[in-house]
Amino acid sequence: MKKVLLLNFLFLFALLGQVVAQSRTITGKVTGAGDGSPLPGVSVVVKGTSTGTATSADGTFSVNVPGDANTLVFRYIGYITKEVAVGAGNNIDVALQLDNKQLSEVVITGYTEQAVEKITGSVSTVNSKSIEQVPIATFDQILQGRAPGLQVSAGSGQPGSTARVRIRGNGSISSSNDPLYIMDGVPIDANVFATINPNDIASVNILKDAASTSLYGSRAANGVIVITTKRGTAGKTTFTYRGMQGYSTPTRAEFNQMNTTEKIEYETFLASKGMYRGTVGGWYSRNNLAPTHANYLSIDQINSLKEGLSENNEDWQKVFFRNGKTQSHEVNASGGDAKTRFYISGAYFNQEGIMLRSDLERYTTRINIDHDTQNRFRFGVNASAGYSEQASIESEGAAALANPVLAVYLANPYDLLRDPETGEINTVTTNVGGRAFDRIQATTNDRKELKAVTSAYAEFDILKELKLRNVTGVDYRTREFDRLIQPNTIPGDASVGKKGSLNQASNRRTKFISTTTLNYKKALGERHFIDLLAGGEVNKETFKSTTYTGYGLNDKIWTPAGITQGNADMIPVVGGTNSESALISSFFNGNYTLDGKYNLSAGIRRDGSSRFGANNRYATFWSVGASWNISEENFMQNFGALDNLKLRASYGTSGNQEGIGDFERLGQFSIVSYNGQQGIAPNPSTPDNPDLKWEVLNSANVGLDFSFLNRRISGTFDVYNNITSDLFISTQLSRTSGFTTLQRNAGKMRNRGIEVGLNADVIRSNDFVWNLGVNYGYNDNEILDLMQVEEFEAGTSIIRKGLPLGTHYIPSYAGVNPANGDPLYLDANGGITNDYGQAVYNTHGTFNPPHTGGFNSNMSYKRLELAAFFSFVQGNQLFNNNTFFFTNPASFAGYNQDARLLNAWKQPGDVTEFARWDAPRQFSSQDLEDASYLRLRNLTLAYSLPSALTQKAFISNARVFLQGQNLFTVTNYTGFDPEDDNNIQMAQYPMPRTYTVGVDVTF
Amino acid sequence: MKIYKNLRYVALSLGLFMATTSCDDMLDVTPQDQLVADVALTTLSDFQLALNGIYSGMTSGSYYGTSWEVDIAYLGDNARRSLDNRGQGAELHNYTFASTNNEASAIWTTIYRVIDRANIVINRVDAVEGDQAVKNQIKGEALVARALAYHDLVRLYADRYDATADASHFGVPILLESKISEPGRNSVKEVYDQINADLVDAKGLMSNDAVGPNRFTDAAAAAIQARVALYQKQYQKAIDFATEAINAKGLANRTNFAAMWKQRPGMGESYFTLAMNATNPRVGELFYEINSNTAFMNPTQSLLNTFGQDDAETEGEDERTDDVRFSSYFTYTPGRAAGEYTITKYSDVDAQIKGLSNIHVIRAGEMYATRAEAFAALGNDPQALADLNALRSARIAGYEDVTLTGQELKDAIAEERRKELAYEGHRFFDLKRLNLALERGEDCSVAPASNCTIPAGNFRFTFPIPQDEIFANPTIGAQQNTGYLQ
Repeated sequence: MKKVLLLNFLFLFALLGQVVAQSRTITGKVTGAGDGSPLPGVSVVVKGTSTGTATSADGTFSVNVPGDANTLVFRYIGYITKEVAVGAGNNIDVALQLDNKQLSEVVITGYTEQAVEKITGSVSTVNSKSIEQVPIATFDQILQGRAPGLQVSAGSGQPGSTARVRIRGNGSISSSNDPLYIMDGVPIDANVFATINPNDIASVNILKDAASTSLYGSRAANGVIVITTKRGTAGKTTFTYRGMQGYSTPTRAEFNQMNTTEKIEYETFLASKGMYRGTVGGWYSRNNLAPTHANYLSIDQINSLKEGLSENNEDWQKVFFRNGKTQSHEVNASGGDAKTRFYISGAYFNQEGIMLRSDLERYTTRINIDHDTQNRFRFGVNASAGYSEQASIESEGAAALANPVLAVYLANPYDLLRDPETGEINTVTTNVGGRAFDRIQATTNDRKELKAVTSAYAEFDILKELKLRNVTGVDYRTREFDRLIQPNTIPGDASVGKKGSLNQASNRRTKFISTTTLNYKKALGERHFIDLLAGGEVNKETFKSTTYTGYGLNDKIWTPAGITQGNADMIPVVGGTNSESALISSFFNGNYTLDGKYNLSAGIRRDGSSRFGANNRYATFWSVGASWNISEENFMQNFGALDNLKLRASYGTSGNQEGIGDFERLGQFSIVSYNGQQGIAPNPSTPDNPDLKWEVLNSANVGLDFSFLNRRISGTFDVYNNITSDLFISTQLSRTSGFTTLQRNAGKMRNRGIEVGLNADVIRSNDFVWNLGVNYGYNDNEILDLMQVEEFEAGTSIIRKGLPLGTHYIPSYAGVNPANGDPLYLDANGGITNDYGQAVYNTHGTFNPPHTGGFNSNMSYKRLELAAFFSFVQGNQLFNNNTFFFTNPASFAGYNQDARLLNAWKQPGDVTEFARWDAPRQFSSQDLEDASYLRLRNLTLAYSLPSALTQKAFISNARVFLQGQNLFTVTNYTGFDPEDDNNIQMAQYPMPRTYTVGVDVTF
Repeated sequence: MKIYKNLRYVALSLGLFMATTSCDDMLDVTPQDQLVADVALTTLSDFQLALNGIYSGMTSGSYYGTSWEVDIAYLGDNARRSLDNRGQGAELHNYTFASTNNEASAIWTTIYRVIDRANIVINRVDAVEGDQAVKNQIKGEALVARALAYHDLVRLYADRYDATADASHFGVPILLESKISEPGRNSVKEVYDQINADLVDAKGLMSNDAVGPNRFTDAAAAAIQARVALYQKQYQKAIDFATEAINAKGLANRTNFAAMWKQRPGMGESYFTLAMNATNPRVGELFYEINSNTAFMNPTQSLLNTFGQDDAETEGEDERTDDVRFSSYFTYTPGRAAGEYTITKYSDVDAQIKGLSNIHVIRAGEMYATRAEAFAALGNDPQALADLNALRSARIAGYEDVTLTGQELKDAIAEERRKELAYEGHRFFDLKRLNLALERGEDCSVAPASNCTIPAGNFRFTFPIPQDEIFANPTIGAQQNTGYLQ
């Protein structure tokens, strides 16, 4: 490791000293003539030579020109080529005119930057405009609906929570389906985004097919998300302030629980049937006692008690829910000169969630610096550091009364939060709401995160065409968890030692990377262009965690100092883990373009991974691709309306190694004990597994890009067929081995689908522009092979050959028998049974939506802008586990229930939705619901102040906006939220609806 | 010029870089929280730890930790399901189990895990540096563990030893090294030969008697040899080995016997006792859970009857308590709704951790019962009677010797063995070994009731090869025991 690093640095610095000026460097910036926006990827070539460069993301370039050069040629697809004479100065700024026939941009795939017209693979780009100033803490959630084939679904509306991100469906059965995230060349932790400032992101490129991902090798099978942060622009230093303030409310509160009158009526009814539940039920049961018994209650007494109770009507939603608040402030400075450019930002983000004790507070900073010695050497640094504090609710998603999302609906409306006399919180065991509220006060659930993503690069032009580049960086984060259960509280009394507890846990993960590449770009004569890349890379990841829990807290000291020591009944619990992994890789990529029409690409990567078994240490992945710019052909020149038409095709492989434990390849001994002494024994879950290797994706993609009518209409269309094989399957071993199962690379699955992106300027006039865009993805998933078996069950799901992953597997509900109120189920013979034991398990669709997408409408009239953005999913089923608890009188009538139960079956002949009061409630298709939805994800009304006005205040640009997030949702789903990240929805924190007002000011 | 010079550096560096990447060094990352197999066993003290690992495996809840006492009790006629029972042990008790039975799978898996641990120690301990006597002791103990484990496997998953004249019927797969394979079943004879060979080898290696009874010693090995010989109906051998064991340690007196079943027990007359502590399963909870006053099983009336009738009302005191076994094994709570008698052999009310109990795997009481049975089988009634009387006098206060002969004597010895070893994992095997029927009689709690009597030689006296094993091991797939779905 050290050896490798040292080498990388040594030769870079050795080279530094060798650099001798032979030519001068001209820098400048290329912008679009229309709006002045920087143009990235513009080819800048010294006329009559092959010497040249391409502009970077901010439109700037730096090119070494021979002393005798006199003209620079600026060429950019979609724009009219421009030739500029080289004068005495070293700075040339150029504005390119739109060529209405074509328009293009550069695509950053991490290792390379390529002009769109040369791309052979499938890449979607989301730019900063869609990411900035959205009142969501994590950028992954912001990406929802923004790119075809990218499915983002959040399981929680808690501030700072991350989402489930899938590119082209799920390729793996038992290992991770998360994409690989690369930020400025550094792989970053998936799902640790709460301490990254989305406003710092310049663009997000989503690499979807093998031609674009195979260079990432054994980590790329789930697609790659390449994040590029903002960089400085040469010229005047600009300062931008972005501010935003707003509040949130719950999006939906669909559960219709009983009010006090209804609940008293319902308990009275149940009591009449001999089921004594809740407070009222309890009174009726006392009526059964002998009248002489001290606890006996007469009916008159009960009625009078009921009357008293009916005056209570606690709104538990008001107790636990609140209006959330969001505020965000950011200042950034950007500028520089021909040699040095910088982008510096500092941001503060604070979000109070819509439930008590759910907050995120975040501080982030970023410094991106680029320096060009103007003597063939460039270097720079991208550094970000952030700190966040997050407080979370109790037991989110759990079927626990401590979970306020559940308690809020199970709390009886006749129970009061506070004693009306004393004002004290009512915590009798039957008062579910009071107990849950008290628990919030008596405990903490805090997480503090420090995260830094930093990378430095150095680039040296060995020859005009040959660049040597090294990027070295690290993604570092620590997390500290604090869980205090105060002594002398109800939860504190339930702790070991009955005096509260303190758990402090911390973990640290570092992902280190160093990549060295050699890039050769050359035009060979007029017709041929080659772009070759060779590279080597080292990745190393370490993880360390420690945790302890101490008991017996001092009445007043709730820090580690207050923990009771040396008491046999309160022995502190200590634990921790250490792990690491390494990846060594080399790769090669080549692109060849003929006549600007025909592109061929090929790539290969070899990964050696410490996670792979000894027999499969190295994995090789490859890809080939081709594209044809049809619109460049002579025979197309008569189709004047057509600006661009390009056909792409690619095929290749990539891998998935996330499912492999760091040391799963090794047989291990773990510590056991006998008679108070330590012992060792083979860990029964880790048989030696020298054959263990990566999962493989074979991906085929065909795509079409087009634009016509002066680019008023443009779009892309992709068809893909992805087969993942060698999927990890836990296979059974002969028990005589001492083990039970072994992970083998055996399963096989297919994802195939269609993706469409369309964009149209419906109206394009001087003052008024109306742009409509839509993106849509259809994914069809099927399990093809499971090796030893045809199927296996996983909770309420089934993994079965021939079915999609995530298929629900539960008995079919067949309604209520009007004769006796029994719930009915389908049996194995297709008949109907009231015996759940006889009910047959059936498959019921999948929770993974086959159809996903989004569409947007942007209208601008002069300085006014109205942007609406919708996202949707269609065709998935979600298990609504909430209703299982809310319509379950047989088990839960002591808690509040759904008001619809008042109309449940009561007597023969009743035709009802819900079974009789005492029927056992079972898991069945009764709780499966269509979770398709259409959501107005974002609506923004913005106004840019006239520059005549702002300039007086030395403001170059000012924009104010009103924004609504999740304003409405169209769905048939009856739970909190049809958006979920797994198959069962159970008392998860609901998505908020957020209203914000904000301002962007540039000085 | 310079450029070419530069290029040479680059080529060199890049070349080196590529060369480095094809080097395994950096990829050889090793775990810090666990021991990789290669480094786990390099010193003699590592093997001492690995030996503890074998004993630890035996304390598993799917072996001696609970299953061996509880599950075997469900299979016999000493226990009935109680009113508190919500299905615990139902398939076993009802004799409706199939190859998918959870207990059959768990016991099989766990015993083979113990064998695997023993194989690792036996095969590798000689290769490390260290005192040969210490190595021998470690290897010897591991050999006894392997022998005991194989005997437990073969008596459960194979038909009785004399089901065929030459014991050529299916036993269990013999694994003598740690490996992942798909072995077929060896014959019962081969398994018993292996067991006996291991025990002989072990006795030749072990030299430290002081480590007992929480570890294996020569006396424990001899006692196991006696047990195995009895199962093979090699009565003279059984007598010889039992005598060897008894000479090493005889019967406990009543006080010491009672103390064996208490929280801080004496080891009494035990040759081998698994020491159980807070981290181990609590077998007592499955017979009688003190805190919740719940018992999943009650003693059968037929077993209680062997101790006589409750004559407290007529005689003024319950004379059954003269037998220390009655008071050690049962608690009588007149009026207890879910059964007046509870099995509290493993549930010491005064215990710090309720239901936690040491497991006495083999002890002198069994040796007396074994030797008595063997003498009687060889027609040596006087010697058999002497052992019977000796055992009874050690247990029963004021016992007066009786004189019995012939079948009467044999029956008395069998009944004494049933009383003596109740709930220690013997009764079911004794019925099977002697090819007797299981008759639950008057207080049968079995459904269907037709299974209240299981005729001698019924196929369910032999456990099925578990479905999990058949699924993963095609070789054994064709070797399922008779009666179970192939």
